[in-house]
Amino acid sequence: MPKWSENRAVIGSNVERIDGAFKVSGQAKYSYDRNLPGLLHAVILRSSHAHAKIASLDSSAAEAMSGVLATHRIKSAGAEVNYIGDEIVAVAAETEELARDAARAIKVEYEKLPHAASEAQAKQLGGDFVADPAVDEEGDVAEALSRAAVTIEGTYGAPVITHVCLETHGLVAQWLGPDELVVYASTQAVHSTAGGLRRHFESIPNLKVTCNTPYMGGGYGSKFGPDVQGIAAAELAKATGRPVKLLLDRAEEHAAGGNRPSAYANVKAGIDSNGMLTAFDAETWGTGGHSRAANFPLPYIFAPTNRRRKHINYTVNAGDARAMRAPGHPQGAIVMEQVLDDLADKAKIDPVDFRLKNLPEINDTFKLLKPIYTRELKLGAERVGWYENRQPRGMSDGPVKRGFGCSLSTWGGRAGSSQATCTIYPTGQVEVRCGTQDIGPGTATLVAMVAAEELGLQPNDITPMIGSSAYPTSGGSGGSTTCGGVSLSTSMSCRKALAKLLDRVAGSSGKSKGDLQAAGGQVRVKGSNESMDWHEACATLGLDSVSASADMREGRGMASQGVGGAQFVDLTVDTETGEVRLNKIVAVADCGLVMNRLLCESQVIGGVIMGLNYGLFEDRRLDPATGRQVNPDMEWYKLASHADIGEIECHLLDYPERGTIGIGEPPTIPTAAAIANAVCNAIGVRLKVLPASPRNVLEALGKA
Amino acid sequence: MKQPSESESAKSPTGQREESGGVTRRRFLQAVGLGATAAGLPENGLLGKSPSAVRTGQDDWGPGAVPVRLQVNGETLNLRLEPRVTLLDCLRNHMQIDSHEAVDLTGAKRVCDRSSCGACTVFMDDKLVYACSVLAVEAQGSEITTVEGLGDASDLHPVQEEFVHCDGTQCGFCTPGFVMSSVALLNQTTQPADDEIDRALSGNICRCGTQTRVREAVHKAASRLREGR
Repeated sequence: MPKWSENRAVIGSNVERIDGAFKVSGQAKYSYDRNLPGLLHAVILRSSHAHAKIASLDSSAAEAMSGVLATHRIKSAGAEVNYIGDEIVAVAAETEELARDAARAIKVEYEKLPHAASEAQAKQLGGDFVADPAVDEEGDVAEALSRAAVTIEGTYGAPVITHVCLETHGLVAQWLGPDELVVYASTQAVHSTAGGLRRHFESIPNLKVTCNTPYMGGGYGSKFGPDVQGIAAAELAKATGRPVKLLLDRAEEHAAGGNRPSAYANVKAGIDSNGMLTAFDAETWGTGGHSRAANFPLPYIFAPTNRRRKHINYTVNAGDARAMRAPGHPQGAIVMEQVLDDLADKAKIDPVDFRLKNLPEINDTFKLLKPIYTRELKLGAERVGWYENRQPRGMSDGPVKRGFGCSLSTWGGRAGSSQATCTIYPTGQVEVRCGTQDIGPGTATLVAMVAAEELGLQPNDITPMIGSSAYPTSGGSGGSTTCGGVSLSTSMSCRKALAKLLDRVAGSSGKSKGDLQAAGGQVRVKGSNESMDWHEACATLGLDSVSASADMREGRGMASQGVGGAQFVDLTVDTETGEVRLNKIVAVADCGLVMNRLLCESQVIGGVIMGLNYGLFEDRRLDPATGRQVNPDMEWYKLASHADIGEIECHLLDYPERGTIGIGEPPTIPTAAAIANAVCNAIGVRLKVLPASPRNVLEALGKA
Repeated sequence: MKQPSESESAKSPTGQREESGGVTRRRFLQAVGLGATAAGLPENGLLGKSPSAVRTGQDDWGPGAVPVRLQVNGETLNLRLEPRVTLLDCLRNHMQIDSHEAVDLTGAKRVCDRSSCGACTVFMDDKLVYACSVLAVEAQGSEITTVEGLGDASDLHPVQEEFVHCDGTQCGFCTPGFVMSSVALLNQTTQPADDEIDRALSGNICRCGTQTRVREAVHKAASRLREGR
């Protein structure tokens, strides 16, 4: 099985992102920035009712407007709309301002249908608004609760939040000919976006579709295909023969761009006289919008011997949920980790000791992770000042109270599918083509680093060519699978191309191929001082270049999966205003072989910040009477500003023997749960629901 | 659609673009960027306001397109825009449609479109504004500086360089706005405390979570500016 080199020159070091200069200077061209000659702008007319049947639809006035070039019907009269923001008609015009005028001129009449704007309303409506409960049971939870030494009962939860990708969903579509479509899409998956469009236009023989995404402004799990708006843009471009830009505005993004489902739980749990978690009985519910579920793993990480869980999905007339950074896990942690603290506090066991004692060994992954979690819990507790400064629940004096909390996380992060082609030119130039995309973690930099490592060069010597479906197939950037997959395909393609180069160098220098190696910008003869500059070596190719492709599966053994993480929060709560201020968050993360320390730490810090937003601020609120989002913006939909963040300390544990493992999702899992625990530790009472906003804090204190 | 260099613009055959009082973009930025006051610039220079000069006909008031004359990154652009067009949409969408030469200034991003997130931050003279909440017609007579005007990838402003060194960018969509706000702060002080940085950047929102890296980048850029590096 192939392995990473023992003497790594590039991998594991701090490498600045190679496209950073373009990002900081505003020169990086995102899909939203793509201005093509003759570009038209399109907007979508959306439902203004939460649940209704379209009685009639008349777009003739819009079509008659000067400067309006085409409309595209997404829904026809008779169809149902399921949320405010559901797509009805798209319209393309010479300017965006004009397209909006045109959308306003489209007449839609609705026959209203009953809607639910919350889980409680859905429950009241019943029928199709309530899914059949799913029950999962193991052991005898009733008996275990009755025998438990300590039991607790609690209600925990978190509302729906949205992804708030700064670059909204959408794309620019351009037909180069009747059988050739190019799109510039804000997507996490260039190949599946191109594939989705190809399927939509499957009646066109031999249709060639290319999706280009050189830069993209955030996806977090919500951007894996062309979506309704992408198909509408391509249809409008086809109808008009001109390129069309259709990216959502902020309110549309909140409504239609996906969200993380809500998660609520009533839990009874118990421990035995040894402090072992023996009973866990949960009734959980949530909504994933009008057609999606709200599932999340529970029990999470910890494995009570007797457990029962009943889960109900409610239909709420809102946009559908989509995967959001570690789908399900942050919700699982929020419920589980608060239960753990409630048990530990009631039994007067230190919460860190309680977790250490109950770490599961239910399968090989958790057996492997047990010593890692142990190291993480100890390091995190030490770094946050747990043992010196944490007081028992509710014992902090005065109106401004300090609290400490912690939470664990787990994730897979296996290497995803990926192919790459490495080409070495006689000039010494190296290109690596891989149909992956860089959604922010620095995938282009990763490709350059891995290629540089394998070829004995520096990252800047490599031209990573990614972000297009014209390059070898690579999976979507989801599930923290990109780093592993792309590292392996890049590595193996470079090894194979290098072997071809060394073959040629050997032929022209009379050396044996096996004696040659590439290192330090040279091709060297092993065990001697003889060497040849990289460029000189490549010049032996004459007029040819050498090229080799590889699949990530050829690099099996260089990646693995299964990570554990721990986070600790130190915060202050003003019990008079309900305001929570973060003092410090300590994140301890495991991701196997650290590929790029600088960028990897950025990922972890970014995950923490996304998690603290979930814990402290985010709450998509719908008006109960109409189902309209009351905060479809970025001021009443709260996100942290600089002053809200406090200090974040990041510790990456390096386990190079485990190979590459993705780190995109895991660090966002435990933050909100740790915040919930720290708030409770400070004020002495539980918040029934996150975020730990002033309102929810005051409500918990009985002051609201 | 690369922006023409200054030497190209000086030779522009269309007459659409004018040199601005012999002050290059870079010199302009050095002037405002390093604390010079408006009084220190030539009287007829970039800060000379003459919005009345463009009000020439009865179609000045809309709602149809009106002539708009903007000074952006040291160049003068004559456009025709509906008065409802924001400065941000003008920069991003209307430059190539309305002027004869392609100018593609998409560094300022449209994210919230209502003054909450700061992704569209630009300078109007030496003041920071959210370009989404200024009408293009209101921006006449002011010198607009976008992130592209600070420095390009081969010639970065120290703040931009430190953003790269400290990894103050992930997806990068908020980054131009953060760079502009950071430059504005460092125009006021080259010895900012953490809470001053936090205050100065609190009008910008990042979703990937680069804020602590940005804080570090601002400190490093400040120390470079103090030392004149």
